Amino acid sequence: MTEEEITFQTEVRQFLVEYLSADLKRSGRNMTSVFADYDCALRWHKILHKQGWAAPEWPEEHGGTNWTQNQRQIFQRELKLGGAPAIMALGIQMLGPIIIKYGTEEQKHHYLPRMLAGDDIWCQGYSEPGAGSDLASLATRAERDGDHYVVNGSKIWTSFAHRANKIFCLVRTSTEGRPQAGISFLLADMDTQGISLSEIIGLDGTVEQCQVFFSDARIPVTNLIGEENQGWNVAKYLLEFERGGHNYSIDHQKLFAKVRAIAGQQYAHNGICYLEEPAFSADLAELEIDALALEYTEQRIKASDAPGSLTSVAKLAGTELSQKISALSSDALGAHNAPLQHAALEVDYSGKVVGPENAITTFAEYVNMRAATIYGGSAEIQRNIISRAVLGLR
Amino acid sequence: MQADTTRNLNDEQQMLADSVSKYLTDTYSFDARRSTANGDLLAPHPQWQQFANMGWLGLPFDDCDGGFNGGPTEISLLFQAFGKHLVLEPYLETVVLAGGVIARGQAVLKQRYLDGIMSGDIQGAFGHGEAGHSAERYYVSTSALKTDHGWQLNGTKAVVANGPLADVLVISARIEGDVRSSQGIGLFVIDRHAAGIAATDYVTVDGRRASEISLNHVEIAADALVSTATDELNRVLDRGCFAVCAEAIGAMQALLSATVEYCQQRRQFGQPIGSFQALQHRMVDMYIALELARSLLGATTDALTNNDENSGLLLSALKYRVDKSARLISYGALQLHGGIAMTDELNIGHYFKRLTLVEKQFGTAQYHLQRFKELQLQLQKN
Repeated sequence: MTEEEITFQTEVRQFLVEYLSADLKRSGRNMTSVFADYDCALRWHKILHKQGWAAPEWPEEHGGTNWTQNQRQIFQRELKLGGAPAIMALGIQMLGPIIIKYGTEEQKHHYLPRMLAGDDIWCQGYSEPGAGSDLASLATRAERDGDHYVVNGSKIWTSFAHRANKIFCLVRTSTEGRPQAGISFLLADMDTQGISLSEIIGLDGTVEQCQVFFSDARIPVTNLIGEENQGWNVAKYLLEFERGGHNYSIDHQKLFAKVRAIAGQQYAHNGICYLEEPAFSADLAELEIDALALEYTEQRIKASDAPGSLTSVAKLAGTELSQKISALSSDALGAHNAPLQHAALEVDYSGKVVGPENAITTFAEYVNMRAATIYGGSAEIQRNIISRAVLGLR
Repeated sequence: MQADTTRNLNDEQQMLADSVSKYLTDTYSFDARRSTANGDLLAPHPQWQQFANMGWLGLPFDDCDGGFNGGPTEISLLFQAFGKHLVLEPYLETVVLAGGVIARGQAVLKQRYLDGIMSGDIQGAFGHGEAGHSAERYYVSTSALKTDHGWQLNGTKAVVANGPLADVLVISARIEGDVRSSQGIGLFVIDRHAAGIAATDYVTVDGRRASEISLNHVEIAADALVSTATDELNRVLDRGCFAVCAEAIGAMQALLSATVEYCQQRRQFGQPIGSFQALQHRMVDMYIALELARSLLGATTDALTNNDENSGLLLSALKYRVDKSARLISYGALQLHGGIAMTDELNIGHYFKRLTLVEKQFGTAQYHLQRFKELQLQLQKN
C-alpha cells in the first residue's frame, strides 16, 4: 500500500470505530447470505450516505467518489471484514450505473439522489418461472396504451421485493425478431395497482425472495430506461457491471476467518483441533491457494480495460470457492450444525445460544451458499460464455 | 431407474420392503412431514403409533424379547425407505440406539423398557457426543462414580437427538481413564425425568428435535449399567452408522430420480434441459456415486449378517463413500433444479439438509478413512 492508501485505510477504520455500533456489527456478523438484517442495512446505508460513501463506485458528479481502484478495494475490505452489514445492493450497485449510463437527465435527477439516500429501495424483476437461465425467453408483457404500459406476467427470485418500494424489470414489448430484440427496461412503484407479491420461504427458513405478479398494472411510459425494445442491451451492461464489480476475494477472507475460528475450537481426534489436524489443514491450505489465485485474477480484471470473460472466470471460481470454504466451516462444526437458531440471529437477541457462539450462522450460510452458483448467471451459463467467447467452441 | 434388484431377499423381507414402501408412499406426504417438522417442539410424531402397529418397532429385537429377529437386511430396507420419504420419526434413536443398548442389558432393564418401546409407548435417545468433541469417538468427560447404591453421573451431552421426546436415555459416562481413552466408558440406561437431569430442547435444521442435556448428581441403580466394554459402545455406534448409511442411500436415490425427472420436464432454450450433455453427464456422475455406495451397502449388510471379520472395514468404507456420494448428489440435485431447490416448499433442499447432518453422525468421512486404514492393517496381520 502507498502512504496515501494507508492514510485512507486509517480514515475508514476511524469511521468504523465511530459509526459501526455494536448492533450494526452484529447484523454484519450474523449475515448468512448476501443480505443483512433489513433495518440495520438501511440504517447503515444512511450513515454511509451522510459521509458521502454510499456509492463509492459512482462518478463524483452523481454523488460517488473519486477514489482509485485500490481505495475502493480497501474500503470494501475494511467494511466487510470489520463486520459492517451489507447494504441493499440492487439500487446502488445494479440500477445506479444503468441510470447514469442510459437514463434521461430527468430520470437521473429524480432517481439517483433518492437511491443514494436510501429513500428508495429497489428490487430486480428479471427471472420468471419459465425464464431462468434462458432469460431472453421472458414473457411478462407490456402493452402500450396511451401514456402507459399495461403489464401482465410474473417475476420470480425477486430479492427483498417484500421490503422494496420500487422495482426495475425486463418486460416484453415486442414478439418480433430475436427474443432479445423485444425486451424493454422498465421501472415501477411496488404500490402500483395490479402489482402484488408472495413471499418465498428459503431453505434456511427465512424470507429473502419473492414472486411478483403483474395484473393489468399501468406503468407510465416515462419509466422506460433507454429505448423501447433496447432493454436487453441495458441489462447486459448491468450484468457486466455486476460481475466485474464484485470482490470475491474479500468474501473469501471473511469465510476463512470463520473456518479458523471454528476449526480452532472443535476437536477432530486425539485432542487435535481441526486447525492442526493434517488432513483438514491441508484442505484449508488448498483452498487458500485457490483464493490467492483468484485474488490475483481479480487484480488483473481491475487493471484491464477489457476484462471480457475473465469476469466469468472470477464469478465461477469465486462462487465455487465460497461454497468450498463454507463447507469446511460446516465440517469442522460437526454435530453442532444441528440446532436451528433463527432467534439467535436477530440483532436484539439476548438469550442463550446453543453450542458455540461463533457458529450460529454456519449451517445456514453453508446451505445458502449453494445458491451462489445459481443466481446472477448460473455456473452452466458462465461456462457457456467462456467456451463460446474465449475458446471459440460452438 | 430400478430399486436394487441385486439383493436376494427372502419372502418375509420382500414383504417387509413392499409394505414399508406402500405404507410410506400412501401416507407420508411431504406436506404432512413439513407440518410436523415446523410444528410444536414437543408435539408427538403423528405416525409413531402406526409404526408400532405395523410391527416395525419390534423388528430388530430377539423373539425371546418379543421382537422379530430382524437383522441388517431388515434395518437396511426400513432405513432406505425412511431416507426416501425423509421420515422424521425417531426410529434410529429409540429402536436402534437406545433399544439396541437396553436389549443387551439385564432382564430388569429389558422388562422395564422393551415392551414399551415395541408398543410405541416409550421413546428413547442416545447421549454420547460432547460439546467441542462431537467428532471424537471416545471423548467422554461425563463421569460415572460408584456409590453405595449404584452410580452417580455428572456431565453434559451435546445434540442428543430426540432428547425432547425421549422417556429413556442411554448415556455414555466415564468410569475410569483419561477423557479420550477408549477404555472405561460405561453405557447407562436412565429415566429421562430422573432428578438432576436438565435439558435445553430445540428444533434441528433437518426438522427433527434434539437437546443439550446436563446431568448433575444423577443417582441411578447398579443395574442401569449395561456394559463397560469398548466393543459394546462400538457396537451401538456402528449400528447407528449402518442405519444412517442405508437412510442416506434412500435419500440419494430420491434426489437422483427427482433430478432426472425435473430435467426432462424443465424447458429452457426451447428444449428440455436434460437434453444438454453437460447436465446429462453430471446426472450420470450422480448415478455412479449412488451405485458405488449401494454396492458397499449390500456388501456391508452381508458381512454384518454373517459376522464376517471384515464387517468393520466394510462399514467404514460404506460411511466414507456415502458421505462423498451424498455431497456429490446433493450438490448436483440443487444445481440442476436451480432456484426452486433453494425453497422450503420443495423437498430437494430437505434431503440435502438431512444428508449434511448424516455426514456428521457416527464418524465423519475423515474418521472412517482413518479407521479403514487401521482395520486394513489389522486384517493383514491376522
